Amino acid sequence: MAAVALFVVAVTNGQEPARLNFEKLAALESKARDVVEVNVDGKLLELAKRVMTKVEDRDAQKVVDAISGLKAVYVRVYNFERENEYNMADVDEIRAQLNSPGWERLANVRSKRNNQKVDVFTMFTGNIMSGVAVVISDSKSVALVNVIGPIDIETLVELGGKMNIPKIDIYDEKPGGKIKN
Amino acid sequence: MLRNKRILIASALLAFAFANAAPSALAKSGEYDAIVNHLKKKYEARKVSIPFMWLARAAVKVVRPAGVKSFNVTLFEDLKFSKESLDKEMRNVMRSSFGPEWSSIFNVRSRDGEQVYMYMREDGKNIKIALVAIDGNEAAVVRATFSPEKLAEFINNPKIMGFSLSDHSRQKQPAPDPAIDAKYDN
Repeated sequence: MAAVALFVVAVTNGQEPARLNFEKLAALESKARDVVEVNVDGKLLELAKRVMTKVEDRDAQKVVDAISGLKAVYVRVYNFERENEYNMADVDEIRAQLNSPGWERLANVRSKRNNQKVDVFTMFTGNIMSGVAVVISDSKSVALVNVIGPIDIETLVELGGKMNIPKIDIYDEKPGGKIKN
Repeated sequence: MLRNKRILIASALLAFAFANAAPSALAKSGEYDAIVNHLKKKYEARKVSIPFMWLARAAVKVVRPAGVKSFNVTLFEDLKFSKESLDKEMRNVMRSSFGPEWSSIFNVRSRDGEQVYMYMREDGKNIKIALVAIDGNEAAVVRATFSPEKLAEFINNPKIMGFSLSDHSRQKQPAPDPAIDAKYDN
C-alpha cells in the first residue's frame, strides 16, 4: 500500500519513482577532487535506439531489445584527495532514499579493505523492474548508478565485449577463481 | 580546350563548396560563440590556427562522411585561470550558454584544471553535439551536426564517396549461434 502511495505521489509530481535525488550530493561535490556526471536520458536513448534499430547486425538488435524499455541512466562519481575526506552521512542520504518503500536490496557487500561498501537495489512496479540503483563507496571515492526503466541484464552480460559494451567479468575472492563472464 | 574545361569544373566545385560552407561559418551558434568568447576574454586564451580547416569543413559539407553534415573545431592554448575558480566559472558559463533544449550528457570536473562538457540537442532530423574540453592550459571547443539515419547507413555500409572503408575481417563474420538465430528468427 505504501509502495503504491509512493508511486502515485512520484507520478503526480511528474518524477519517475525510481529516480534518485542527486541534489543531496552537493556536499560531496564541493569536497571532491574529481567529479564525473553522466546523464543518458530520453533524447539520447531514443537516438541510440533509432540508430541501432537500423544497423543490420544481430548484436545491435539484441542491444535494442535489452534497452527498449530503458528511460534513463545517471552516473555520479566523486573521487577525493585523501582518505575519509567526505562525510559518510552524505552518502547515507542516498542510502536513506533507497530504504523507502518500493526499493528492495538485491546485494550488500562490505569489505574491510578500503572500507568498501557496495549496495545494489531494485525497484519493481508489479512484475516489471522499474529501476536499479548501485551505491559504491570506499575511503577515497563514492560512485552512484541509477538506471530507470526495465533492462535485460542477462542480454547485456551476454553482449559484454561486443559493440563497445564492456566485458563483465565476475571473480570470486580466490586467486583465479572466475565464476562467470 | 580540355584544360579550360577542367578549370571550369574545378571552379564550379570550389564555388559550390564555399556557397555551402560560408553561411554556416558566419551563422555560428550562440552557444559556441559564448564559450569561445569566454575562453578568449576570461582566460586570455590564444586561438591555435588549424591548417586547412576551411578545406576540411568544406569537404565535410560536400561529402557528409558518416552522416556528419557540418563541424567546427576551435583550439586554444595559454589559458590563464585560477584552479580554485575554474570549476565554478565554467559551470556558470555552460549553464547560461546552453539552453533547456540542450541535454548535458557527460561532464568531468577536476580540481587539477581538467574540465570536459558534452551536450546534445535535436535539430529536426539531425543531432547537434557540442564538446568543450580544458586540459591544463589548453582547450578545445567542438561542435558537429549529424544525421542519425545516415550514420546508421554508414555503419551498415561504410563508404565515403563510393569508396568502401570496410576491411575483409569485417566481412568474414563467425558462424552464427543456431540457438540465438532461432530466438531472433521467431
